[in-house]
Amino acid sequence: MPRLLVLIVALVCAVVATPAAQRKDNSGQLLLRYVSGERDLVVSASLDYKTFLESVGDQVVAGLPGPPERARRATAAFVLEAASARLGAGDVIGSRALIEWACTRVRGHLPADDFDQAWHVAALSVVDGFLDPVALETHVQHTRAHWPNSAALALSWALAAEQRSSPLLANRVPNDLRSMLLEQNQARIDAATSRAMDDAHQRFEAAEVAADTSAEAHLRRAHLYLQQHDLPKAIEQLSLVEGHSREGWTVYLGRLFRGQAQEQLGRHDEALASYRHALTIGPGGQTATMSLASLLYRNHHSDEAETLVRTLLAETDPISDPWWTYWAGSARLWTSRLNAMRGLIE
Amino acid sequence: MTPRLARVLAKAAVVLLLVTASLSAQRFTSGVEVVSVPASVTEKGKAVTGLVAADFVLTDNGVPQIVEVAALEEMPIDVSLVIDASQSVQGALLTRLKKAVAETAALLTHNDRIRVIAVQHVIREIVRWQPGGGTPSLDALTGSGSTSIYDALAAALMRSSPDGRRHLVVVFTDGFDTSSVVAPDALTSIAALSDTVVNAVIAIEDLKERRSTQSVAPSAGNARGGSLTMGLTPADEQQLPSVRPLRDAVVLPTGGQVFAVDMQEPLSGTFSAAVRAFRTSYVLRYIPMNVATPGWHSIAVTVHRPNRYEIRARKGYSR
Repeated sequence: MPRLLVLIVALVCAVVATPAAQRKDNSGQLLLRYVSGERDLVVSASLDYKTFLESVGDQVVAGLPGPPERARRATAAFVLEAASARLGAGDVIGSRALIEWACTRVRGHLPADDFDQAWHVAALSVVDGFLDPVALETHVQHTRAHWPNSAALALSWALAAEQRSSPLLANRVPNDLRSMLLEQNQARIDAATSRAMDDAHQRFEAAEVAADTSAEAHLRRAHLYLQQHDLPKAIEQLSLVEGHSREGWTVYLGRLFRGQAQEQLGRHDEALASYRHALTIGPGGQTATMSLASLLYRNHHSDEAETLVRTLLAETDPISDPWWTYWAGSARLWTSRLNAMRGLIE
Repeated sequence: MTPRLARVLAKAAVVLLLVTASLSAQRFTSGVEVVSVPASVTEKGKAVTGLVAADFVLTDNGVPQIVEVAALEEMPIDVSLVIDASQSVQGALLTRLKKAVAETAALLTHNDRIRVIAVQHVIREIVRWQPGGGTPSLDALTGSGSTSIYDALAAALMRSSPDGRRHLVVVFTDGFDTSSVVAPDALTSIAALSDTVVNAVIAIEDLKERRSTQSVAPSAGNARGGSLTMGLTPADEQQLPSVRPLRDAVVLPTGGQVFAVDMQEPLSGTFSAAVRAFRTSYVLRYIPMNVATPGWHSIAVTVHRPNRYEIRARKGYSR
């Protein structure tokens, strides 16, 4: 039986076997403490999201101490933080259920205010991390009507199309389905991937306009071109990245992708320089190190390659390589967005 | 000089050069290039031992070469265990993995060495080189994150074998790579520059169930009962195309083997079988003669009575 199916069955059994009333119910207390200012509590707490969704209704929120608007905001923020914590624990289902519960209520608040926008932008950092393009598109569609000019929403809208184009994300489904996806329906997958890439190009092009998202939009278009083996266009896009952003994550990946494009073009000296350039931003970064070592080794510079690899393998506290969070879009911005949202609760 | 005498003298000269050259170096030592080709010979899944140089025919870019043969049983070996420790490897499977690693270490002699590279999105040497026969500490082996299996294999291969030692990589994986930057074709190029052999233990969901519904036998016979099988059946390959990139990129080019194992079954004996298969293989060494020097050199190895034996050997090398 596929592992995912086993997981689902186990989950269903657990729910059926344990009535809600018997489950540990700490969610009301956690919410109260959060509203009273203990903001960092949720991150470390293991919230039983099912109990929360069943027992903490709108009446409970209405009964929270303090002004009703503050209670509304604090509740929405609390649930979003809990959703992020669930995602961090690998519980996408629970995280998604919490986001949906809160999103409905935030969207229902009219006219929308600054807190609501900050909440939605922070929520994107969680939903991007689901690596579920359908969920992401649905979430963005729900909110774009309120903020049609939001750069963050435009970028996540494009990210959803990019996620749809990723063969990597097929790895999240069970082996049997993966095999079918990869083999028996290859032609259909190729066509769908091509359509998703076209969508993503169009959407990222729209996101290039805003200063906040321009660099990342160029970076992601370059990656699309890399996958499409249109290397000159990839390099053209990458030449625009550093003019729009000095953010380490973006610059590192821009240099890594530039090296990959140059390597595929057979311009090995330039590629080596690009990988070394990336390592000036993220010393010890695994992807730039492996790209550099691999190319050095294949060009008969085995001594330096072996030294690089030996050092990498021995590293006990490796830096977080930007590539590892590439497909999760704005997940890396969670902390800053969380703080912005928290600042608007009061 | 008679042709026979010429051949004898040529062979003697080659043997002399081989003796003076490093036994392990794939390339130049003392200005002499020695090519080493690990080769395993099996008959119905069982290792064929006792073969001598006269039993082998090796061609380099189609040109027959004069080879010297050594049995790996006589050499110390270095074993790199490359273990998929991603999110999908948790709980009981992780426990079985740790047991298999410990068994493998115990199988080695004190002259051998072992290390363990854990593969998540990050790749890390969680057990550094240590003598065989011990019990490596695997406390740092936990299951989480995505899988950079190609990166880890490239890292394991980018290593010069110390003199007189042979290097085996045993990789455990479900065949799926999600976060590598080293592409399969680059991995193949790296493998072509290395004299390491890569044996893959590939865990397959519901392998036993699949096999029970298949009418075609595994390609290389059943090595050890129902759960451990060398080679993949055509049906396996049809249903598990994700296995093929790894097999084609690095296992077959290095002369390695694939061991398929059911994900729910014990791994006991699996890694050990991968090590034994290497230990009972041969190393063919020769100094290339009458072949153009630069670029890719295609190698073909056969044994007399080819219909009876199955031979796995490096497919070539770059220089």
